[in-house]
Amino acid sequence: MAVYLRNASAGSAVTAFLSQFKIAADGDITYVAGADTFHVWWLHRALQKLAWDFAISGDDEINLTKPNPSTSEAIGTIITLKDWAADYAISYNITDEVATYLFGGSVEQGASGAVTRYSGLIVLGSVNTSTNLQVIQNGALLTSHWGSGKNQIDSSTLLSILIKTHDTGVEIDNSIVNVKANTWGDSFAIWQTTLGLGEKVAAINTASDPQNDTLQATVKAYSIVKSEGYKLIDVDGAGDKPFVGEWSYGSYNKKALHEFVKSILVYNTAETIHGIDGDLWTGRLFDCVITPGAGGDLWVQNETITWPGGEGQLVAVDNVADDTATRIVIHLNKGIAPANADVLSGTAASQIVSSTPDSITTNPNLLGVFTGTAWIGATGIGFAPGELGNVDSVTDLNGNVLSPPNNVNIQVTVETGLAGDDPHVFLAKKHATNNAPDYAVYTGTNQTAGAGTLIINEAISSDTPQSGQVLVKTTGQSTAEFYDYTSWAGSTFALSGTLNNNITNGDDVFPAILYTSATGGGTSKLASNSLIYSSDIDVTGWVRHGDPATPDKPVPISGTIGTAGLSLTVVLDDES
Amino acid sequence: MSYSVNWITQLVSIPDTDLTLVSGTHYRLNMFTFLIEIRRLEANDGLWAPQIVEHTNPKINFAGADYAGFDKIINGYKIIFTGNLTRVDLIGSNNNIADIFISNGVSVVPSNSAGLQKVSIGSGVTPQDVIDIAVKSRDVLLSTENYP
Repeated sequence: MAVYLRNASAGSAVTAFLSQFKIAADGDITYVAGADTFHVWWLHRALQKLAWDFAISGDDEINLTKPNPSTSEAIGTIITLKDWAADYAISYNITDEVATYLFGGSVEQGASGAVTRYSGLIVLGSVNTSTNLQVIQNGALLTSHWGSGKNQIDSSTLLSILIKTHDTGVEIDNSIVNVKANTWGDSFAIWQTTLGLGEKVAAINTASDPQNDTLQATVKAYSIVKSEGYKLIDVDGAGDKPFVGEWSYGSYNKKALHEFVKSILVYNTAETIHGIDGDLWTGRLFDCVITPGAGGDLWVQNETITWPGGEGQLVAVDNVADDTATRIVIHLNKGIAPANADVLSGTAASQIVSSTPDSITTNPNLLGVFTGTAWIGATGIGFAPGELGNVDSVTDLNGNVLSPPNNVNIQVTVETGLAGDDPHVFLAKKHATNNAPDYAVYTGTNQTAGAGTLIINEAISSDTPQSGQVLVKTTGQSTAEFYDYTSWAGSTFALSGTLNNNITNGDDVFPAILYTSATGGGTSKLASNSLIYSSDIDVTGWVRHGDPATPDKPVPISGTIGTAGLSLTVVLDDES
Repeated sequence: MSYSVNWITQLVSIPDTDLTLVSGTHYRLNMFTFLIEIRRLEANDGLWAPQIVEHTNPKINFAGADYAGFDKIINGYKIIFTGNLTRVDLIGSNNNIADIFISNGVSVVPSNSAGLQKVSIGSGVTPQDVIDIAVKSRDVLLSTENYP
């Protein structure tokens, strides 16, 4: 297989071209046999050679008696095949198949008003590993005839091909194509370009992604749940902000989430995101302000939306009811983006765009950049606030860059003798002077048994875990009573249950950082919680395993919760 | 077991029903049984509270003999035996219950063994102590003391 560049030897290029293709008397140029590829210049030169010949030869049925087959402009990169149908019943044309053997420019053919155009696309850049580039046109993947590269005429060229952008007078998707590189283990890349006459460039560069080194099959098995749709999230403690999705890594970690989302978008994926095949996700998001409609119809998450000249997918809407929805985010699948006054139409609902939609800057990885420790979130991408720290940066749909507080994890790993052991962990703030937990952090107010909240006299410290257990030395009781709380604000803990007994004003109250069983399937158990770090916290407590059958010695634990949280490991020892 | 602990006042109550009857009002407490129950309580209702017992495992087959362990009641906890009883024998470990139990007419008989003890002879002051004391006394008089 040879690649005949623009500056190839004319003799050999023309000979090879005429050998590989048939030029019929009616102007049809068809593929015969061969694997060589040719700069479009050699299509023109081969035809000119035939039109100069006195006699026809073999399957090339054109000679000096025929009208001029073609013209060339822009140094041989814009080739026009002439249409002589009216006078000579000859219309020079190539087939789609022939076009796959050409590169370096454009080829236009057909009568005025019914022109077919093959436009040149050259993809420049570099890829980290062998990459099967994808080309998306009109909301669909083009069938690849280029594998991991074709017509790589120099070290910076990944691909050089022709793409049909006009078909018998009809422009295809505004001549727009998106080129994607999404190879597992590498950074992803997307480039949109509008093709035309001659050859247009798409730039693709990928690099090794050090945060994407897990086996793809392993990542696909993660039990992480996709998050789609409009979300209001308070990531910085300053109130809810609008986002698309609220991604959570759950029992995994940030890297796992990063890889999980890449597994949705990876080459040849079978997954969808916002209802779109991951291969077809181009990240072309538009934020539209819409006028409330008449009511009675609902938008449906991930449904297809149309408007004059375009089609997309509903990525997020602030309210599914068409009489209250004021903001909608769409992914452009094909055509042009909606404009002011366009009517957006879904399956049932339709509303009018009331201003020019904003194009949202997106990331080929969807979530944004993951540095290994921190997110630099793409615009509008939401994350579970409890999983963000002050190293992370997120940007809401309004474009505001938000800095989350530093959520830090506190975890105690307990190595037990038996998998069935149930060690209990208590960890609390250390007393200011005593080497013991502080049992009197707050004081309770008068409250009645059965209440669903626990109210204290003081403001709850900002570095109190957002959920966990709070204990009360209730007057008249022989032990401190513990209550599970699900959140807190001001001076009030919201309990998951109710108060067992009346609380007397002044009763000691102290929140635990850990007051729970360490759990896990094997002999290594884990107890954990998180809180918003603001300054170092000295903590103390213990691990106890009092199973009458196999008791272990109590083990004291202590440490300081710092900017990176606190991680302790305890090894239990049999007591006999 | 029906031990009860007031974790606020730090009082452990052991009823006679959880003791082994010897005869009449004379009972026995197996210290390992006591330890097991205390550990269970410490890990549940008392998880937040300081530990009650510090336990030292027995020394088994040490030079041909098994040496009993130690159970030390710590952190200010007290023990009280309740019910119709006058005497409780503590068996199975050396312990300090006799020092901290609340006497309510019950006699506690520990079985502590101290066959080999570490003791100081005389005043316990060594010749080096005498020298150090003399040096310090001189420094104090001369106002040149330099305490660490």
